[in-house]
Amino acid sequence: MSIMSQFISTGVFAATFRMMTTVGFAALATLMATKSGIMHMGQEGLMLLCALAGVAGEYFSGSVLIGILLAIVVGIGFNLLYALFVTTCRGDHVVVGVGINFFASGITALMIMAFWKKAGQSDTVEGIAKLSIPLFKKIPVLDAVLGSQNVLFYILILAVVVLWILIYKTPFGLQMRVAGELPLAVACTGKDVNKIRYSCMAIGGILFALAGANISLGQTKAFSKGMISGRGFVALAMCMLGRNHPVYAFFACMMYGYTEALQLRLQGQGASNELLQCIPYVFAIVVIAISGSLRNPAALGKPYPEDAN
Amino acid sequence: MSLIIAVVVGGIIVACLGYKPLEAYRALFKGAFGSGSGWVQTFAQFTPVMFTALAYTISMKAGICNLGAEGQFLAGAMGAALAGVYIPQILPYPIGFVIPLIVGVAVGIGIGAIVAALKYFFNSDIMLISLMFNYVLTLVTNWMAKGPFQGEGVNPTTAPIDPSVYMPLLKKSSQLSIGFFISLAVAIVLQYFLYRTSAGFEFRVVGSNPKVARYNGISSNKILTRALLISGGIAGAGGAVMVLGVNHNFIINLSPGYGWDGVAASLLGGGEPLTTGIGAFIFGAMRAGSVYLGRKTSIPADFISVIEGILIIFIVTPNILKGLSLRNKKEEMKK
Repeated sequence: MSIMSQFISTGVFAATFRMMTTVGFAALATLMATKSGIMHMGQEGLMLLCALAGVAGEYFSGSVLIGILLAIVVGIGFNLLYALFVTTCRGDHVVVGVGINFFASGITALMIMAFWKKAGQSDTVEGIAKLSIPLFKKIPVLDAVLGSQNVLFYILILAVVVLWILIYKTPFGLQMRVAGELPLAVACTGKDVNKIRYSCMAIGGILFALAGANISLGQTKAFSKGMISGRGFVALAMCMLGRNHPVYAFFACMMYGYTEALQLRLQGQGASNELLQCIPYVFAIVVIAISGSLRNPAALGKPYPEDAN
Repeated sequence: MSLIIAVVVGGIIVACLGYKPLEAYRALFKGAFGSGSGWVQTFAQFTPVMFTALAYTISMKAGICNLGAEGQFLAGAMGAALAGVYIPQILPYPIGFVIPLIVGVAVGIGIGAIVAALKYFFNSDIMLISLMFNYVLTLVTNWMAKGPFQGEGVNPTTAPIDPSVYMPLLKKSSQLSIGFFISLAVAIVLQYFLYRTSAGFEFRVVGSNPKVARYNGISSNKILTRALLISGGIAGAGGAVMVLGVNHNFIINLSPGYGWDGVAASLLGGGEPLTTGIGAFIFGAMRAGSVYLGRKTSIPADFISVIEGILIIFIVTPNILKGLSLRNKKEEMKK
């Protein structure tokens, strides 16, 4: 097979969709926070915690559904905790995120030791099965690309549509966007700005949970220490690249997924693995760099009310 | 205060997981301060944390969030490691380390310059770019140590540096080199620069109020560029000192996360160069203690990350308790 044909093989596209699911959910979760005015930097930590919760939930109950539910509970819980620190307690948004990442990387390592009595990696679990749709089986190319996806990929597409409607077509979406741009205006209509931010973070928590569940239950079927390794920050980058719009962010993540799939495919063909693994990050740097100043909501990262102390 | 809360909360959380928190803290303390070699180890770990913390401090003073110290640290270390092997050593032993150190600093500055150039020409997001560079630089330095510059043997390290460029040690066969004093000197210079020079004053103006800076004709782009260069240089120096004084070659995963420790230490030190030393001392002690913790007890050394995380959150949200009472006050006002 020539090099060029690898760039467009069905295998690469299948891997693209597998790779983008995790980052896609995390980007959507980041987007919910950003739109409502919270500068989220704790993606790495949130995803780690949810990934572990998913594996632990399935390991101890035997049901993958319980695993996902536990991940969702953990995701909502910690994302709301993040919201509590930055809204009600008025902490610095970026640094709280860094703190959550620290905490998560430590606590997950301790938990692996406590639950499975070994360092670094959990026992394997069944995980989420691949979803094969009978209709696709009949179409050769579609089957090769989509046959290996799990249900979360389709939920991701659904989530993009739902979020687009929620953000741009509902009263709540309007309030949320204004809470990010000019919180005072929301307050003037008698709505509680922080309550809106909390709601957005709760929805974001569910999305982080699905991101974490996809990486541990969907892909590796186990939890290993530090398994997120930068994907959370990539999600933040893709969210910004997608102009904080769910549909654009989805396509940004698809581009990232493609670079990730490509580097996986090219591994073992002479070039160094380390250099190939750089490709997605270099891609992120380049696209962020050339897309220049990305406009973020005006009140991003600011507590409300601004002057209270 | 934050430290006490973090220690207590961290203890409660690990107790819930079935560990013995008191045993953990005793081991941490013993590892860091229990013996003469514990103290030496604490100061040895203090050094790299101090460099990355100063790198973060100086960038924050100019109002930018340089989260790329980890990558710059590694790049500086690699630069020094290669300079210590491949360029002819013209200076004799006690001062031979100067040239590789300068190379390490230059590499760090170079990385900072790339970020600054992207900011200058494309107005890109500094925080995000510097963050992404961490991953790229980790991978690239790993590749260099495993690939083209691998020394003899099977270990993923570069060739050992020339003995003439070793940094003089403060104590024989320890990890404490004169890099310790270099880090302190950098802190003093930065303190002087920020509070006693007009260029430093411009830094603080841009950092605290960009609008005022603009009205007074201070180019914030110029200051941001300078801050990124200095920050990168200091982080690079940290890496170089680590290689020249401790490891004597570049081994993959050289840094257990010093770049991030630096963020925490800088915050704990209140964001001033001199007081950053306090933060770096505490994190150096934790790093030194964590080795002992991992060896002597069944508690993984990652325990300190939990404390660090809680500590960071409590430092930047001083009104976790006040925030709740603020709410009550507001409700009273409504009545």
